[in-house]
Amino acid sequence: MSTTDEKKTFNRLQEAIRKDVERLFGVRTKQFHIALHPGRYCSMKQLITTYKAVCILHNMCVESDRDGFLSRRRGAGRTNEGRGPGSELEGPAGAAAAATGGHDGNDGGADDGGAAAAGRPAPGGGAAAGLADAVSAANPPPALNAVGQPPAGGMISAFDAWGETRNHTEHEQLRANLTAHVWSARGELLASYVV
Amino acid sequence: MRAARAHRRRHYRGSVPGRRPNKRRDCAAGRFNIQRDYFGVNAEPPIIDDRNFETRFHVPRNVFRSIYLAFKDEPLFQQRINATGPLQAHPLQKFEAAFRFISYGDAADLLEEYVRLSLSTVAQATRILLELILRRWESTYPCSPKQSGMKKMMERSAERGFLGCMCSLDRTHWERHQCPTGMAGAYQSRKGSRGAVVEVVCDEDLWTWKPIFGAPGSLNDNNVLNQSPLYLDVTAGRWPPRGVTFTVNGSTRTLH
Repeated sequence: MSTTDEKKTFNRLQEAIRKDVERLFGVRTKQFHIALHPGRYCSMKQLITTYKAVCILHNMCVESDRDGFLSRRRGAGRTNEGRGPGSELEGPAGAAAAATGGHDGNDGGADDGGAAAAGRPAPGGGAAAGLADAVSAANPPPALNAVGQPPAGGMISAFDAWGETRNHTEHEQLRANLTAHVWSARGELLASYVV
Repeated sequence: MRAARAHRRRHYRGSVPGRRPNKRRDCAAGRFNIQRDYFGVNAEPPIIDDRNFETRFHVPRNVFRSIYLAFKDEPLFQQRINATGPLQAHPLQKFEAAFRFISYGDAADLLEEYVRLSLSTVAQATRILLELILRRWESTYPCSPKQSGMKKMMERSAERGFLGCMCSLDRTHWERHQCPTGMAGAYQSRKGSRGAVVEVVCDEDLWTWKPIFGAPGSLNDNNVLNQSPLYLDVTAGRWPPRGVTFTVNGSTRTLH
């Protein structure tokens, strides 16, 4: 239960961001009614096919409508306006990543191993290392059967990462930081929406 | 899959002695109606314009067109000639039927009146269309964002005031009417019916990725997350991409 105003504001904003996915379920069911009674198909395999195909259809619709969305226009306007200090690095790095990504896509699977191997050894220390990593890692293409592939750093790294996802202190700290940020940046704006 | 279809074909034996003759469905009328209503015939404009097309099919015209062009020559959809001579259903009819089935959830035999296809053809066309869509676009459409896309998404969520947020993740239950009784215990979902859990990740404009389906309905969200490919990808270091950083309240973190 959130007690302080800061926490309540944070909670309100989180609700607002989370509604995206709740909306998705509603929109998709309205758009493709087959999602309402998918159980007409007997087998689980058929249900999985239906679900994934509906997702693909939905994405195709989103892609064709995308230019009309307010969010895209807002995003484009914001990036043209100019950014805060210290983010100049981001432009060229992003461009390089995009370029290498495209190159990767053309090459297909052949480049995947090399790119992944180059990317793995540096586990993203500082921001500079991260950026260098960003350029060299070159966006490996999405793995089709990701579950079937063993983790790159062996099972030890997987267990470490698993522990990391359950790190309570880190979670609390991140939440505290976010709460402080939201309060300072949006506190006044959201004041009227917080009950 | 082909072997499976050949095996199943025994169910549809077709016109053989001893079976009821085919109905006089007048396939050509179905095709003519669809073309007149949605695409226009004899150089006349279609009766139903673009906006209504989208409300009717629940997909924009260009999406329908690209799917039609991609699959119209597939064995099930191409127009065939009956053993007795007349032409059988046009691909347009089968697409119309399948799309109505997908977007309206119509009963398959309701479509017999307008599209002029039999119940079994409609069901088969829908099933095959969904399979074809999946096979053709599975690797391109629901793929997870890479580094540049991830940066853009983080920027957008930072604009909304939530730093370091990539996307929203949630699950819902899909009912499974025809669940075998033996598995009813595992698939018992929280609303009292049999169901399976659907997990999806989406961003602000509802672009979805990592759609996962199939966890039994009796699992809670935590258990579903633990076995979902998304979580396995994160722990195995395949996703999210490295080198994406964000700063909250003075402390910088990496996503990975």
